[in-house]
Amino acid sequence: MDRFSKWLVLLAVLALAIAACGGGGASDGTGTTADPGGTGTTTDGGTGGSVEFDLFGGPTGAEGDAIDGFLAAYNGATGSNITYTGVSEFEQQLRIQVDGGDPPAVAFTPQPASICSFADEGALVSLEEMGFDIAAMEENHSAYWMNLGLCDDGNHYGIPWFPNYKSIVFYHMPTFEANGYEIPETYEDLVALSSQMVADGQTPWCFGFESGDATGWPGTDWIEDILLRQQGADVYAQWYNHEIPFDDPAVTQAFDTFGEIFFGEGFVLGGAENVAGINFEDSPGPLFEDPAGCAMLKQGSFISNFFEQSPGYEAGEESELGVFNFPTIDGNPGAMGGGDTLIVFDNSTGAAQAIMDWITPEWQCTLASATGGGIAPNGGHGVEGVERLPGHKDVDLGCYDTETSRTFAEAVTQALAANTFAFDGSDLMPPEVGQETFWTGMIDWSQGTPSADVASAIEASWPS
Amino acid sequence: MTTPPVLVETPSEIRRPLSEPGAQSNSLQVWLLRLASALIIPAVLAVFFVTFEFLQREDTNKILQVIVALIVGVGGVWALFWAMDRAITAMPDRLGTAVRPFAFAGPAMVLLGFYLVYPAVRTFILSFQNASGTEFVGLSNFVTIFTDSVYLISMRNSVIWVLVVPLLAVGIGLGFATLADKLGSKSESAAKSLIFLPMAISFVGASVVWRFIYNFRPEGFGEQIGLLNAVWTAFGGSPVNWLQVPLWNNLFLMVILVWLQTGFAMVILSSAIKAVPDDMLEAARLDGANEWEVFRRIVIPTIASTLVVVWTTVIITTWKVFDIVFVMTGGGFDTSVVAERMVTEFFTFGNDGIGAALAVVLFLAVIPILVINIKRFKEQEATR
Amino acid sequence: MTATATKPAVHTSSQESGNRGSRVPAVLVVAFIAALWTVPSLGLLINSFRAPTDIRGSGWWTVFGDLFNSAAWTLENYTTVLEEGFANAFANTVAVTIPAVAIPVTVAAFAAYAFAWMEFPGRNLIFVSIVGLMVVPLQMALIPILRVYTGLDLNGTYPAVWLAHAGFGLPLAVYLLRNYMGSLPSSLIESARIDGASHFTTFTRLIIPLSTPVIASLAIFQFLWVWNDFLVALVFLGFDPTNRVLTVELSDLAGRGEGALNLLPAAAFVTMILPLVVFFALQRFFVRGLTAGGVKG
Repeated sequence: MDRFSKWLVLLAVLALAIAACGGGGASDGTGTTADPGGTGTTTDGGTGGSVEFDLFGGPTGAEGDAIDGFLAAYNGATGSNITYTGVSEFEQQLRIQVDGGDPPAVAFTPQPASICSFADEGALVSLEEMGFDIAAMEENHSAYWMNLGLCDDGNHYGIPWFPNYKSIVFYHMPTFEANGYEIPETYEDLVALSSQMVADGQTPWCFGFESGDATGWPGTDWIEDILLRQQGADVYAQWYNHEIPFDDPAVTQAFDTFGEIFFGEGFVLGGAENVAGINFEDSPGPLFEDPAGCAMLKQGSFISNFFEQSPGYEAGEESELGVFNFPTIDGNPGAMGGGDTLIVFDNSTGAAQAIMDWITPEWQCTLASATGGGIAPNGGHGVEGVERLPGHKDVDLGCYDTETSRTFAEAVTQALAANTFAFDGSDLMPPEVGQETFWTGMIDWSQGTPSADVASAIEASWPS
Repeated sequence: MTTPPVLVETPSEIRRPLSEPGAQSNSLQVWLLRLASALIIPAVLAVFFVTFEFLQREDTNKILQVIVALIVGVGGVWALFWAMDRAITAMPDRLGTAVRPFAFAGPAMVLLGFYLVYPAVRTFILSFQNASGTEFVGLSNFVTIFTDSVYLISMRNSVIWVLVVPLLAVGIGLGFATLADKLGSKSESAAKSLIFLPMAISFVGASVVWRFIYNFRPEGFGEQIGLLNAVWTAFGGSPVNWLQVPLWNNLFLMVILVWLQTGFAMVILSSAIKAVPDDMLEAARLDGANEWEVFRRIVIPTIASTLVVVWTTVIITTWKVFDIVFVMTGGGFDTSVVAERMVTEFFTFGNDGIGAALAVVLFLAVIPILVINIKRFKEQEATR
Repeated sequence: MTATATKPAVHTSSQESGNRGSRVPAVLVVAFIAALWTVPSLGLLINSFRAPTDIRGSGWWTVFGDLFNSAAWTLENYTTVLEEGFANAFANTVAVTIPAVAIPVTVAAFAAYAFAWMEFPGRNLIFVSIVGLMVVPLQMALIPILRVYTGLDLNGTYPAVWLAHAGFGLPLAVYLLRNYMGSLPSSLIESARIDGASHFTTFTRLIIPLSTPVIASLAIFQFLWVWNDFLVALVFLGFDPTNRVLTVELSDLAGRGEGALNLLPAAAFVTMILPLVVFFALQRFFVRGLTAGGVKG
């Protein structure tokens, strides 16, 4: 016991001594010293001077590295110290931090539905307060996207950063060339082409709905793209705002239209009833088999990040894949996608200055490409295989390193300029629907539950 | 700081082994001691405080921080208990006797009060409020969860989990411990380590492990990389999506928890079996009992209290499990369980009222188990 | 290493119990269960040494057809994982884990002693409430605690995580320790009292040594829980990448979805190393026992 006591004394004294030394150490605030006349003095790229804050978001892995690479370029050019943290359970984590009273300074969310819920709690700083030019932003990033962050108090809270694009179909070019297939212009053409392929002994479609706890979401994209084209942007907006019920005939019609392909005899590799079990990241795999297991895949632009992991993939094989825009219905085109929107919880460190830079075409170019494409003033983010689409209508297509990304980027910039870009509807619905029953509804539907039953079950789950 | 002299002075008091210090010295000494003792607790707290400040600095050396963290974290708690005991010893005898139990149990009660009781009370209140906790809605959350099929399914599943998982984990653990006991000590130790191995794996890791078992690829999507489908197709079956087969998928998820928990049950039960006195076993064998009868009549009754402890612990773990379901299926395909549902309502839907009501149900459902345990503790007190 | 070494009074293995005929089925059953339990981990281990495309392309068991083909094996997954900041995470995890084990075990031991051997009003009621607290889901506790921490400016500090783990781990620790200490014969404690020992002395000199096996076992369980914890560390250590623990790094990999399938097995094994070392080092304590019976004889 006495040896123990001596140890305690020793430890206590030691701890005190070390703590005292620590206390006399460096002062606070190192690195936050503002650059007095700093606007524009550092390099041509940055106008905001040096700032320091934490950025929080969902991308991890290579996609997270791309954000890091972008911030490294920005920090280097402006002398700022902005750090990025990405966690995979982003939505829940952000909710915990905000409720716990300890939010990050800035975050970017893929779910615009959450913006106004944070704003209503008084957690966010409005764009008006930070001095953003709303009119110019509506011009550059589309009024549609800006309005997603327009909340009950009449202020804007969301800053469009970068979108992804979903209204596209990947196709296996050698198969199309060998059989003389043509790119379908209309949805009827697409159905006819699928039938033709089956007649030729080729399975047309690859599908994969499995995504762990989010299983079912890839199916929602089809419903959204079809509904957007069949009923137009207004009805589409009424749908996700619940101004028409989910089981409205317009919606069940969209399900049935999707069914023309999904339940077509021999249309789906592995069989429609098995689609719910195929991981969406595995769904491109058969395109790289020899011979190709399927000829077409509809998935967002980000799916190209998963090509390399396919078992049959050989280096450079992605060049065999082409993309075409999801065909028109009744002559209606549409551009549907998701996107990450910046929200500011704390502007005391001048985060807004940096964000104003980030949404300029120059910095969007840095964010967009791995290499900078030779034209970006600040280079690229340096992560191969990750390309971000433009969130600004004037981003130069030369920023993109591959033909495919240029195709996407062109479609997105045009849609932003024309204010026709439509957001993924499930991301705009309440989470009880958009992150649960719409997904599980797609699973039930894929396994044979009638469209009307699925739609009314989803309607019943809509929170009052 | 006046602390060092105090800390140096007091050890002489405890040097006398197994005897009560302090009472017999002259009054000046007693008085000084009491004064000194009164300063010990503030001193220890001061050390804590200064260290907290130190650890919050981001600009100090990482390794130094870790070392200080370890010293203060590990040593500090002992110092606190020791200091409290010193302080109480210096009190008048009757007061000291009354206060001492609270010095021993007090820190635990304070920690529990803040980290568990306070959130539990808040949860209880929330369960009678609306989604955002702004107004009271009476029992409507409870009405919802006991009428809406979504919640009823999760409750049905939870009940199945609580019946099946402890039965399998404790049953296999007990059988394994009993049989392994008959092996040589080296092979017994090796076999037990293999069963225990899964306990070293985090839930994230476990979900990776089982992905390579349950993985499903329909025809056309390449070779099976999930073991179960490889075996299944080798016997001529067509690939099955195990986690999406109604009702059975619950069982496949339960297997994961059984795999994780059996090691816990086995290790504890094994030690209890080892403690069964040899002469009792030999006596039974001499009476002509076979091994099964020895196990049933001697071993089981002797380890009964351990069995209750293990069963209780595994039941509670099973009640609270959410990670496995959350990661593997997200509660889809009718696999949701109450705890998983609760997390989803809270953190995905922001539906605090419903989430809290589910937590209350979770809590109330364990009361019968608590009653059994209370009875057992009373018996233990009566017989020792 | 076995009970024979420490406590000859209890039986250990079949040599003494005779009945050799019963050993063969026992060996077979034990071997079967052990194999069954090992297969999932074995698959993970094998996959951790395979090339990324192989992991995705074919089942891990296919390596047995071609075991000595060196082209099939690679350390690439491990080198990548170790480059991902796992050294820093390792240090953080150690700094989080050791106090987060020592604090609750110590606090629980004192409390368990009080509940088992001291008289005070409300003793049983308080104890049963503590057992009841085992079911409070810790997810419910995160936000209210985080709010208090924010007020105290404790977020992102080690003590914040230690104390949280201490709070969450206490009910089980008190329950198990009280169960064990309460089963010690009262004659032992009484004789110590007659010798004039204070409660503190009785506790440190008598109860702690007698309870070493259960304390060690409990410490291992708490260690495994804290080491493998993800949520508490993530919430209370916060965003700062320099603060990340191993599970957060691992989850970061897992968050890359199927794309990190090749890194996950290797990463999972890296995080498992220390728990396994601790388990094998302290394994002998398990033999003595976590619950009642050993001393009572």
